[in-house]
Amino acid sequence: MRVKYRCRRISGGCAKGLALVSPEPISFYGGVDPETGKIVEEGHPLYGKSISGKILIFPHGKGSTVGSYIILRLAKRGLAPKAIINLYAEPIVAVGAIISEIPMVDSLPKEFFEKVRSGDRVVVDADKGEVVIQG
Amino acid sequence: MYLTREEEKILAGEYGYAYSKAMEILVAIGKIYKASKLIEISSAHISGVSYKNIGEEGLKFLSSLAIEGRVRVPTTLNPAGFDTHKWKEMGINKEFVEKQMEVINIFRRMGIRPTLTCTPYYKENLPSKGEHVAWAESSAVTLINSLIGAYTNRESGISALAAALIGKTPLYGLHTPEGRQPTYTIQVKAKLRKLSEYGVLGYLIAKEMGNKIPLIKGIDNANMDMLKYLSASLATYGGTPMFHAEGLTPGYDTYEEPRDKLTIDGEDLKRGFEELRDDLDNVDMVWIGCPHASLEELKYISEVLDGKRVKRRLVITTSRVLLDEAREMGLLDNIYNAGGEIYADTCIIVSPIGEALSGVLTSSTKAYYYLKGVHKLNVYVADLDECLNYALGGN
Repeated sequence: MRVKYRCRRISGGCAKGLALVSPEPISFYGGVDPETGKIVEEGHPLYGKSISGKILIFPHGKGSTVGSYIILRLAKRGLAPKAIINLYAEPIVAVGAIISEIPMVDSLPKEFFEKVRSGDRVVVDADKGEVVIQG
Repeated sequence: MYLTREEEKILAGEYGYAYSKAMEILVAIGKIYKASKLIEISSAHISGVSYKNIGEEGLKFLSSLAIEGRVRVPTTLNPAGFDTHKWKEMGINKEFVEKQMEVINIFRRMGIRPTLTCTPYYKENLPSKGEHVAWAESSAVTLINSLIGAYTNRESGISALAAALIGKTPLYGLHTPEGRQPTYTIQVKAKLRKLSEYGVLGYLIAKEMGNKIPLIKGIDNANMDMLKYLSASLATYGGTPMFHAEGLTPGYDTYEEPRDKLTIDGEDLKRGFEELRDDLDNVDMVWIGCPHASLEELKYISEVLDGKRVKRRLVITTSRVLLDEAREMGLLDNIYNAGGEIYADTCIIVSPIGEALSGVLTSSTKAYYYLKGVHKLNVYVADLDECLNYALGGN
C-alpha cells in the first residue's frame, strides 16, 4: 500500500530508502559517532544502530550546535542518512542538513508518525513537499 | 517568510554559492520559527573555530564559502585551539597548529576579525542598546541581551556566519519585545559578593527554570564581571538567552513582574557549590578565565600573586587585546614571576591541552559543565581567592 503525505521542505532534494524511526530526539554532538555513523548515546532507543544510508525519522534535534558540523562530517564520509524527517525541525539539524545537501522535511500529519515503522520503504521529495510510505 | 526581490535573487544563486547557502540557512531558520521577514544586523560574532570541533570537513566547508563570501557587518571570532603566539609552550602538535591556522585564515579571508575571544563585548565588539545583531557563543549572547539590551537570538557558529554574510537575520524570538518577556521572578535573599557565587546562582536558576527568561531581584549591585559569570551559567545549564535584573538591566521595568516566583538564599548557594565539586585531591591545574578573564580579574590576580610563587600549575586565559593591555599596565610581571601561565586566543575547553589533564580547579561553573561532560575530567568549583590560594600551595 502506498500512502502519500504533505510536508514542509527544510532542505531540498529527493531520496528513497529504508526508514529508521527514533521515538526520542537525537543529539548529533556526543550522541552520534562521526567515525561510524552509529548512535552512541547511552540509553537511547536506537543505541548501537547505524543511521547511515537510512531515511532517519525522529522528533527533533537536541544538544550542542556543534551537531551541525557532525552531520557534515558524516555526510562527507558517506555515513549520513539519505534523508531526514522531523516532527518539527530545529536549527541544529536543519543547518546540518542544508550544509550537507541532505533532503530534510518536517510538519507532516500526526498519522505519518503513527504509521511509519523502521524498515518501511520511504520516498522523500523535499522539493515537491511530499513523503510516500511504500510499505 | 517574506523575501525582497533582492533576497530572492541571492537565494536563487545569482550572487554565487556562499551567499545562496547563507540565505538558504536564514530562510530555513526563519521558516522554523515563523519569522515574518529578515532584518538588518549591525554586527556578528562567530563560534565553531577550534579545529578540534569542526574537523577537516568543517574546514573544507568554510573554505568553500570563503572563495567569494565576504561578511557585510563587523564580525568577531570565538577562541581557537591554542595561543597563536605560544603554541610551542602549550605543547600543541604541529599538524594541529597548521590546520587551526588554516581555519583562522579562512575566516580572515571572509573579512572576519580573528579576535579569538568569547568576551568580545569587553573591547572588540560592543553593541549598543536596541541594536539587532547575530551572535553565537551562548555566554556572550545572554550578557549582551541582558546587561546591554542588544537584540540577538542564540545563534550557532554557522547561522551567525550566514547572518554575517547576508548582513541580516530572521525577525523572531529575542528580536521582538514578546520574545524578551520574563516568565518568572527570582528573589535572591543572599548578599552575593564573589564572581563564582554569580556562577552558582545561574546554575541554580537554570536547573529550576530551563530556558525561560527570569526577572531577578536582589542583585542590583552586580558589576559586568559578575554578570558574565551569571550569563555563562544560565546559558550553559539552561540555554537561557537572557535575564532581566531589577534596578540593573535596561528595560526590566517595561514588563510586569511575573507571579511565578522562586527564592534563592545562602543555603541554596552552599548546596549549589557542593553539587559542583568533585574530588579536590585529583586536580592538576588551576584554571581562571572561563569566560575569558577581564582586565579587572587580571589586575586582581596580579595583586594577589605579587612576590609569591605558585606550587601548583596555574593557567589564566584571556583575549589578545586584554592581554596586551594588561602588559602595558605592568600586570603580567607578577603573574609570570610567580610561575603562572597566561594564554590568549584559547581556553582549556576548546584546546587539546585539556585532554592530558585529570582534574581542574576553576572559578567557572561553565567550565565545570564542559570539562566534566566533554573531557570527562574531575572538576572542582571555588572562588577566585580560593583558586589562587590553592595554586600557591594552600588547601
